[in-house]
Amino acid sequence: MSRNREFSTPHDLDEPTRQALYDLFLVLADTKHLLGLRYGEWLGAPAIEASIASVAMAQDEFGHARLFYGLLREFHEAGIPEREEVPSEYRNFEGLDRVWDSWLDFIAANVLVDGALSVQIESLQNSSYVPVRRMVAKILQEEAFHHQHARGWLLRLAREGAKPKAELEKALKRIWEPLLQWLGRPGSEHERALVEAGIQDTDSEGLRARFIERFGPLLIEEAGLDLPLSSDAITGQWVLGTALSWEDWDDAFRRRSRTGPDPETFRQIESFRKHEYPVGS
Amino acid sequence: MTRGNYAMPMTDEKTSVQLTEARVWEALKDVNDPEMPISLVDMGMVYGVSVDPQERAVTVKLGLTATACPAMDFIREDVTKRLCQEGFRRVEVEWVWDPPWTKERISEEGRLLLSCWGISV
Repeated sequence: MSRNREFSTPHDLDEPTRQALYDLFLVLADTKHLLGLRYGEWLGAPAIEASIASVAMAQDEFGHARLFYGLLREFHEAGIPEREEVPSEYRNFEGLDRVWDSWLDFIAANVLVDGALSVQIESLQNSSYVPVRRMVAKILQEEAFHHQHARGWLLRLAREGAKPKAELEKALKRIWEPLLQWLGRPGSEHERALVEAGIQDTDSEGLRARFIERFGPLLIEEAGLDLPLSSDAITGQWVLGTALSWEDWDDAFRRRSRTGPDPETFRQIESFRKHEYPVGS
Repeated sequence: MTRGNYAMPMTDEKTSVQLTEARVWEALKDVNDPEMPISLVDMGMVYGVSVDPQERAVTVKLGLTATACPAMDFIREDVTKRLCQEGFRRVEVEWVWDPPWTKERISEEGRLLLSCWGISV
């Protein structure tokens, strides 16, 4: 690991690392962009407070997307071509491709997707890539409130009775596997490049371990949900009961297929197409 | 005013006032946060100022309260306009996220003003 090296621009990186970092930033930007869009669709959430919270969180996600899209500009100047504006080029987490059916899907994503995004972003806290390191603290400061909201609603729904609890489990399971995969494929060239350059402080298995250590106690112990996750009786370590299948997995897109958002969603995104994201680092 | 053939801080021709960092801070007290009735300085949003008197250039480091701040462009414009009035030819606004802005950065004066407007911090 190269602890002392620092990179201020994409020009400072070797070609594979530059591409891997570009891919990471675009995945984060598109995922936050789409998450913001989905949150914003819940202005009519079950309670006024929830409406306010969903729109506030949507705004944060757009703010973070703007920062990550802003980071990409220098990569384009360094020769990486801008992506074509077609759905199949979008790299958002696949659970955000289409509109959510229910408030339970909202909460499932609020816990898992927002949670995984934060775990990934936390791994950049001491990043050797200076421009991203400088924005991590602000993003995490805003995300703390998302986590509180997610946690509060998860516990509320889990304790409301057998039916909402079962529905919540279903919603969580719908995105469970792709979400755990979203943290990265072990041994991929992407993670090797990012970890070796000191950009990210751990590999995908390390990220997944952090994720389940954080969410295991909440999902299983506090909320009493039935999910393939348990803590080892002896070591107390959280263990995943899901074997992840990496067939068809795309390391650059962090998706199983390059289908992108559905046509209705893409029409909404298209309106942002010529949008300038003025930002500095 | 004395001018020698040695290096002197540049001055504004109109007012003969030197282009100093202190003057920039003073001028920024006139620029309000578009969403709050107090100045960027009292909001604690000014993270730093550096002046190049020769070039009549100034860089202002600003920390926004939120990443999704919708007023980014307004703030940049207001700062630029105000500092041009001071005689600067080039104004650069740099956004800073580290350390993140928190309400602890609001000045005593700012807190008092905000409380008059019914905003508690």
